[in-house]
Amino acid sequence: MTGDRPLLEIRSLEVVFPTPGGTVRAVREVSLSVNPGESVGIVGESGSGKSTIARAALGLIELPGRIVGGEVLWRGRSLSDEKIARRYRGRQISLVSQDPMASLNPIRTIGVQMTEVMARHLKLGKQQARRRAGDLLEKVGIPEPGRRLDQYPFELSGGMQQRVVIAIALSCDPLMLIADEPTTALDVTTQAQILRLISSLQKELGLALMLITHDLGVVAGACDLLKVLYAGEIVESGTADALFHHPRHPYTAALLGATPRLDGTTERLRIINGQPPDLRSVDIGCSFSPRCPNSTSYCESEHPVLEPDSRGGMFACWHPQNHLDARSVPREG
Amino acid sequence: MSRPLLEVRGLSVVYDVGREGFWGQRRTRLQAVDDISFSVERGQTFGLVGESGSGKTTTGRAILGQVPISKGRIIFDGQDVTRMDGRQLRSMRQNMQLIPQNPYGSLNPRMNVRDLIAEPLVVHRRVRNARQATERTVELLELTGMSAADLHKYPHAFSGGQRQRIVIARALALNPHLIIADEPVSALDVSIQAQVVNLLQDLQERLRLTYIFISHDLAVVRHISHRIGIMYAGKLVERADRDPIYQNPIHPYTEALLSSVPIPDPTVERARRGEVLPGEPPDPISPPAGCRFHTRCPLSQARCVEDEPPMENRAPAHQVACWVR
Repeated sequence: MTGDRPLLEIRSLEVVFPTPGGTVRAVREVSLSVNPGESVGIVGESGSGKSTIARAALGLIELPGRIVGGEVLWRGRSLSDEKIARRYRGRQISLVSQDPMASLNPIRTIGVQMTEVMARHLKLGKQQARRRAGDLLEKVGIPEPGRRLDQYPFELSGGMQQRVVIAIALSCDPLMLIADEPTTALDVTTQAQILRLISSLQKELGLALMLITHDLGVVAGACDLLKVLYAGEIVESGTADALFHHPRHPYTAALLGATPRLDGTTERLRIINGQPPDLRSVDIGCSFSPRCPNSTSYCESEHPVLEPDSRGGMFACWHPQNHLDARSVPREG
Repeated sequence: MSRPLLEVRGLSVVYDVGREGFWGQRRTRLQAVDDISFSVERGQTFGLVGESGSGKTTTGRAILGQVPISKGRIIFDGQDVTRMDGRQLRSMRQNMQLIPQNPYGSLNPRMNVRDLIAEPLVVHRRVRNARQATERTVELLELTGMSAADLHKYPHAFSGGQRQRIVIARALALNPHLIIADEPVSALDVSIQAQVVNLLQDLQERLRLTYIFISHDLAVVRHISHRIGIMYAGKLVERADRDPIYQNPIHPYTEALLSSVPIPDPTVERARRGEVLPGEPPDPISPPAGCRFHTRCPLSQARCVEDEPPMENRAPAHQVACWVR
């Protein structure tokens, strides 16, 4: 399913957080777009900027964080205008975040929290909203929805709470769902249930999905397109198949090698040496170069930019994996 | 094979979680661990796997003597730990150490690295003076991939992975035989997790350590374990060597757990779209009668609802508690 123009467009986004120890450049020059019905996975480790991108996509960068460059457009309109962001947030574009207990108000019933959103955006009456809330709970697989509406979040398990959050996210028939680590706080069997639910809802409702996670396994089944983030930048993007089977950026390859698999060998895990960089003092060259096996002195001084490869993906690297279609690699001199 | 380093026989742990009734006359009990047994060979790793509330952490803490045991025996190196008095226990516990999950919560932020690692050495009088303490601390830091330059830094100066190395150095200070690692890499990023898993494997080889590796992550457990026990709702449901668990799981819960773990490969993931395990683990205060898994089990029969299945041999060194399989 592809529409004529993207729903969400992020152009050269730069987000900084001033701290006493210096300014943290959390997101650097990030551009991406999500078309109607598309599922885009954003993969990165802690501090890679993935959640900041999610917040920017909702127009939710709050002080002290600041967008210092680029723009975020929702169907062509800038979300940096709070009035516009408010009109779309929760209605056309909604969020499922990591910790359902933090998303839900502990002292209000499920029903009150669900109908609140619908009253605001859809201008539904009490009875109508309550009926719709019950239908939504049923849709997300919650048994006895009528009874659940009068319960408080603490009376539900973590998996059920996350289902409620998903139901609220769906309550205004959004066009796009942003799921930020939606299953990280859940047990593995519950995670499987929630991932299955998100995928089937996405297909059934034709939603666009932006799934943000640190777990390569989670995006493998759920997303068609992937972006790999490192130190606030997109270092590689492309189809899930291309990235998993033929990663070009050494970081993508290293991340895959470091992820233990149920079906892989039991030999030693391949490690990535060192630590992610300090985002207060980002090097001029490639951020991954201190940890990269392919790194040369050129990588330390010249910043690679994202350029298209022959398979429709993009990567930012001077010395990519398997040099089959490498672009001009500068010689060291 | 010589006798195992650790034997757990019929271990049960019951927590008192409150009172019921108008006068509070009835105690509410939560059976966190119910009659589980396993043994761990010297120099090997026993992986204890389960979801939240399965009793895996309680099992580890019971072995360390940190929670009272309701029933059962813990035999460490041929000696029954459950029958020891305070003094014997204190000296015995030097042989068993814990690596906890959260490297942010387990290091006192007001102590520097030297003091953190030297503390057990001083408490148990393993060093005579400050110089010896520093020497041993440097040795331990180097063993875990840190350096003497880190001695006077405080925990806040380190990343999660480095903190976990400090925690490991501290756990190794008294030359323990057994390390109970409770989700030691769950809070870490993938690239750092691999470093710590490999470090634990290196240390095991160099120091002939024995591990109990407690984790919810079947992929990590597969990498590090020789033998594995699967827990569900306080019960051990399957126990076998590593490969049989992953290649020929017998208990329906083990099977469901394995099929729930996402595999970082889109081709494999798309092909795996089977049924997911429905429902949730039971309330530990009033677990179901019979087999505790029967409420979610796709193979459940009348017998499973009434009788609790015993742990039985299905293959050499492979025990399963299931009526159907």
